[in-house]
Amino acid sequence: MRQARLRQSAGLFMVLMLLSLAFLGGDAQAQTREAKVDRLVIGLINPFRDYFRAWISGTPDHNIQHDPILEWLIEIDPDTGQYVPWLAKSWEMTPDGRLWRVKLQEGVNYHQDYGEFTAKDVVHNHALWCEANYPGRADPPSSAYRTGICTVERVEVINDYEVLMHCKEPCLDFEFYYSEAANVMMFSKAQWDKEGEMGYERKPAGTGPYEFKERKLGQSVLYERAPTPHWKHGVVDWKELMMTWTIEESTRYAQLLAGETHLTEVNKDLVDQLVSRGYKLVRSRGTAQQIQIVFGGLYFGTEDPQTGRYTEHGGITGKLDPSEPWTKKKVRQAMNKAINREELLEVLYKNRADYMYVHGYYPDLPGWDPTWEQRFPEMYGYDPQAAQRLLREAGYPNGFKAKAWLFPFAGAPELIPLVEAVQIQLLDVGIELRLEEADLVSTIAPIWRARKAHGYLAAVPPSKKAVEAQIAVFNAGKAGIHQFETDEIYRMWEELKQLADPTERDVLLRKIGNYKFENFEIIPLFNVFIEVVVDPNIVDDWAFPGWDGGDIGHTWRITACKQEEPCR
Amino acid sequence: MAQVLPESVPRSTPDGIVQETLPSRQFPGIPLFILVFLLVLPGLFAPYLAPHNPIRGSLRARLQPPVWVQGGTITHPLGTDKVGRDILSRIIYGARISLAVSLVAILVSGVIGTALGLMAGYFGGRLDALIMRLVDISLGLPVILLALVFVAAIGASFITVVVVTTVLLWARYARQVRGETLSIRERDFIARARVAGASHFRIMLRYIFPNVINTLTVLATLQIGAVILLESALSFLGAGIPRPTPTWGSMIADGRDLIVVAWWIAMFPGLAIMLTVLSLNLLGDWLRDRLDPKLRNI
Repeated sequence: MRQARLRQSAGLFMVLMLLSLAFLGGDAQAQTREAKVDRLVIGLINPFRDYFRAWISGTPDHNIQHDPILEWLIEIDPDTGQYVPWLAKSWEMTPDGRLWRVKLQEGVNYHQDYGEFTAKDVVHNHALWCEANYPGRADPPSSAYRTGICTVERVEVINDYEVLMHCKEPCLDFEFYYSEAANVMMFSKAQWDKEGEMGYERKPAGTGPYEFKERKLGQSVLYERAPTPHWKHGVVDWKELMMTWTIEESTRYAQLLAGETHLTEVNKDLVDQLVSRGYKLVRSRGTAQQIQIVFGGLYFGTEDPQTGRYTEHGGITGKLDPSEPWTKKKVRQAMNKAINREELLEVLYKNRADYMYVHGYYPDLPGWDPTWEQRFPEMYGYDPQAAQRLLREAGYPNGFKAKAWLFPFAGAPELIPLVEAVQIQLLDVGIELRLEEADLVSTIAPIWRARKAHGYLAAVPPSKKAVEAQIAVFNAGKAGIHQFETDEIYRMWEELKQLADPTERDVLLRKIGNYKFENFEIIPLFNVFIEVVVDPNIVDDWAFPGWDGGDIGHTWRITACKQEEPCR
Repeated sequence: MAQVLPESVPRSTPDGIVQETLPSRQFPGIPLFILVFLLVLPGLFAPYLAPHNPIRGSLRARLQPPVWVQGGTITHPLGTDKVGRDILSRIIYGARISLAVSLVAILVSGVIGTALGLMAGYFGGRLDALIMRLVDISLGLPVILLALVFVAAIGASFITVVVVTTVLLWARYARQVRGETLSIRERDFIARARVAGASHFRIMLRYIFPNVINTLTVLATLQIGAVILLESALSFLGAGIPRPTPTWGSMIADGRDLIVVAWWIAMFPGLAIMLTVLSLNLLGDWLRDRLDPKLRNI
């Protein structure tokens, strides 16, 4: 009897063992399964400028083609949105906010045998962005965030793996400016010394999980998996990764359907269509962009009485044309109240966005004022009658005529229909917009830079950045759009830069935010996420925070679907 | 016994050359009907015919399909576009743009081309060589590139489209008129006019021009279609009439991004262009048959 029970137990044990082995074996087999395709193809809209030399590409919002190969000092964690170590292992600030001690990762090697990443590369890259006459650099740096980046005036090398970043004034936003949300990525000094500047365009060497393989200008970039496992991310899922540029939405849609791409970005109508066909929607983990309409020509700065000239900072410009209707605050408020945001959100954005209140401000960043949400309906809320009354009071009882630019923008496929919808809504209060199609880089950006955008509206999708950085770029005349410049905002920004105490800084940022809010500097619309559609047979997921370089970054986090069934 | 010839048979001419008679072209009733109802009437009476304002719309009514498709309504018989504007109204107003651009461009280019063609053919010599080289240059210009250069330089507008079209079309008139003039100027009645003391200007205007007017009419008719196509292409590329003014080309451009979910946005203006241009070509062919003496003689 006992023997029989023993036999039974032994038999059961054997069966269980066999089942376990079979299960573990199967699991191990599943673990080692490869991606279903060797080459992942990402169908994107267009590169802002097709350069690898990021210091002349002008904006960090389009570093998607740098992402697979190059790395930054600081990462934005996709899940938390916080700054986390990358090529910088750790960093700490002195109490006066003027010095950052940065410790670097050891044992990180550049592709193409360009040696180890060390402090000399940090010095080199800082110089590329900030040194006026850096030897060997033909094109001058033009990054929109250069002012903030170059607040670090000197990089002192302690040893190969430690540097001190000396700032000329408190640089509390150091983390932002040297993170992947800005565009100081770590190119190889050794490659520069050997190949010169154009070596970065021919075959840039980075430290990322992919190596550069080939580029067809304006068409595609091809990368291949680095021969050795990445120092941080190990072995990525794809042997090759390709980015293709296709402006037309329907072509990108067709490419995905035909299997020519495995991941793409299209407008929300097409997203819904693709999802209904079994494709999978993947969103950025956090807010990526603010959709807003800027009034061209709000150059309220006055001439500097002491020097009798316009300052180099541009806060004082003398470019204001007071005959422009929206230089009057009531007109700006009227235009805001003529916009039916609820309709735009529901119909164009399919309710997949949130309302924004002040450009550059987010609930999770310093300076946020929770009262904006309550005050917004009264000050900005849709009310065509109030809008017409405000226009009458401002001296435009019959409205006026103006112009607006139309242009495609990577990561913001709704921009053009948005402007057309706004044109219809403004027509209801007598404002007639003429829409002009123009190229953002070659036509619009130079007009913005020269402060000659009088009479033009433009819908723009500024990416999430540090608050001070946005004020510097958009309000304090440091680059780009010059959306709303006054002596007052310029003065507050100068004061802000001297503050090292985070609490004081938070208070002053809020004050600036309220100043912008109460002056109706823009037509604020929505905080949006980046949406991409993936083929669930090929791609499992992609975790990206939404405010990394290119708005869509972290390409090493695109994981393959390794099961037989689609990864829903 | 009289022989009944089939409609098209080889026929020998007195000099022995075998020619083939062409079947006589029927009066193009259907094309004319299409033109009247798709181009002329809408162009002239758009505000009375269009059921809606072409530049206003309701976002909530966006992407409504045509009335015969499920979800469509009689309010918008041909559906709505991506911002809720009525497609039918935009096609009607778009006809006005097409008509206006065609007429103005053909008139201007016709006047310029005819004048230069008459001078080149009549005077000959260096003037002829100069004008013909200009014609060669003009015919060699890349249309789209030229349009984009103009738009970059002077901005997109009705005037820009007319200028671009004129620059491209005048040469065709000049070349055609010059050819005709070369043969007409050798005729006896021109010699008699010279002997009678008529000035060059008078000879060109009173004696040569009336003899080329048939050719010009045929050419102009055929070119209306070409101008509509060109205007549509420019508008499609964003180098034409600025939005929100409805043009057939920009309507197609509007629809291309959503062609898989809202085919009607691009389909109907495309159909309007196709039918109009086809009708104009058929009408032009018929006119050529009727007005060209060489063809009449066959």
